[in-house]
Amino acid sequence: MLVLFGIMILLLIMGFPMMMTMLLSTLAYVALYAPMVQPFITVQQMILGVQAPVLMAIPMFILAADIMSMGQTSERLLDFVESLVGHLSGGLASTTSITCALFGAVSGSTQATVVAVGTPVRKKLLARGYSDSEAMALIINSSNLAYLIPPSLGMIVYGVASGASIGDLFIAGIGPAVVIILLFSAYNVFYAKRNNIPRLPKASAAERLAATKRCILPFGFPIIIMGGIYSGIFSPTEAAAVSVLYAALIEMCIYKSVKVKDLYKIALSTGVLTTVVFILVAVGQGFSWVISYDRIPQMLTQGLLGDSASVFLILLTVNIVFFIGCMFVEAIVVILILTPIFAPIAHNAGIDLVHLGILITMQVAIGSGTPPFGTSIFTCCAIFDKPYIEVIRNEGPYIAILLFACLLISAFPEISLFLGGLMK
Amino acid sequence: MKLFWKIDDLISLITEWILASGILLMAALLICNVVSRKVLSKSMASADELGGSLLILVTFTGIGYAARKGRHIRMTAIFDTLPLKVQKWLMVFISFVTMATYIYVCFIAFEYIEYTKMLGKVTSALEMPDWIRAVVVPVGFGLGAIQYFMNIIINIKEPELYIGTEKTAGGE
Repeated sequence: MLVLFGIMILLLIMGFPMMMTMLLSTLAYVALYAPMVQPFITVQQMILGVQAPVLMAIPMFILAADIMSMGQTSERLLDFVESLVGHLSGGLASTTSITCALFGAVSGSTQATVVAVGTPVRKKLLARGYSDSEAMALIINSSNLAYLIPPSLGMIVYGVASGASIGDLFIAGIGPAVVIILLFSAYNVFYAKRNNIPRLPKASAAERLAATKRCILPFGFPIIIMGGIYSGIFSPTEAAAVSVLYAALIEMCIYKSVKVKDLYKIALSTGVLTTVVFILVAVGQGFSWVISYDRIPQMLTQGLLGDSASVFLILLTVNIVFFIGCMFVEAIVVILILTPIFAPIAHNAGIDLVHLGILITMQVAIGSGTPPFGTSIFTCCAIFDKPYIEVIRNEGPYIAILLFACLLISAFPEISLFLGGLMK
Repeated sequence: MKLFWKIDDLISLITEWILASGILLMAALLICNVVSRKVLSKSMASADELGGSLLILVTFTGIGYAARKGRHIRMTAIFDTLPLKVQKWLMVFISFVTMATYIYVCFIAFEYIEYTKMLGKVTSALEMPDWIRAVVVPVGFGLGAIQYFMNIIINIKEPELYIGTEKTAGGE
């Protein structure tokens, strides 16, 4: 165990590609401590790791998001939300949170959300008198909501790693996301009042109607994804494929903002991202195979939590471990490595795997936006070309809000589970 | 040496083509499957298997290409604070270890292919030999190893820091 995590952390700090940290530690472990095992089992596990049919949903959702990022979907959503709440105090900031959530609902990807919504909204926020740091903190943390809103790529990976139903996870993410949006909006109002941010003029009923009309087509995505999965019409993978078709139809045939020849470029960009993500999934599978071979979950339960750990203690541990993990490492990697360790422990203690998944996804969302190493921060630095320190300066309140929300959801599992309960 | 870089460019073009068409094919396949299942109420048994194979193809083929573009995810918070000279040597070291590991994976992947060939397993729906899907693993890691080898050379020869042969630390 020491060798496994020691090598991994050492390589990580030195700046090795993340896949290498897992690959090399797996190989070293097999070579040193598992003489009975053929080294090629690593290869077998890697292939096994990426052929689960449900994983195909991920490149499909990325493709749909890539198509939409090139097109007009995000701007239309932004106009729509702005026409509804823009005139309120802190309205533009709340617009940002809600639009990010909505775009998360059509794309499932945090990075896509930062690019597609963050870019236009940042200009507006700056023009309205928000400081750049405040704008970026808002964008990062709102975009991380995409982890919680279906279709969430993190949830798909968690579902594969833990065996929990992806459909159930999707629906359970909605409640917590709404709670967070409300908390963010409350803070936005407070911030706007304190800093005298001027309000936008109120949109007339006709303007609202027009904005809604422009948005009707993008609203088809949640219907396809949630409706389709819940009514049993589609599997998650099928829903993903249909959203690709839908995105292509909207952007290419109706809005005409994407051309057929753009498709190759879009598919290439999706393909590269798929490689980068799935090679992690592949080596992650090898890594978690070693983890179970080494009986690490059992050892941890004994060592860390004792014989009769309470539900509270387990949840607390899970929250802390995932939060710290995501500050350092890409979210998908954290989910892949840590879920096989903690899911059996939690399950044995009687914790609902869906609820656990929501908490884990939340921690992933928070950790990705938390300094020093949150990955969304670096996305933001890269996209807006801003120094690191400016991006993180105003993050404090948002992270505090998110941690508070996490506490709420840990204490009241109903927030995540009641919607699923209603459906049954 | 020039020929070598030319071949590399060609490989990169082919990889681009495989990645893009792999994704488009996967989308087309899944969409067709949904339509045929819903409209004709006939499911293609092979769709999941083909899609999974495409996913394996895209995942492993792109290793070298992503390395060339410097797209593999790294945690650079500490790396970035080091002076350029240290960074360059560290990069050479990283590239070397990565290259060696990839070559080793190549080697055990061949062993794995031999092993599955010996078992003679076929996939359930299409009944194609199982080892065919695994061929892409040594190819992908092999191309990756070549990229890191070139990255070592370019970092030693050029004054700038290269993350991948097509990506300097500064930008594109």
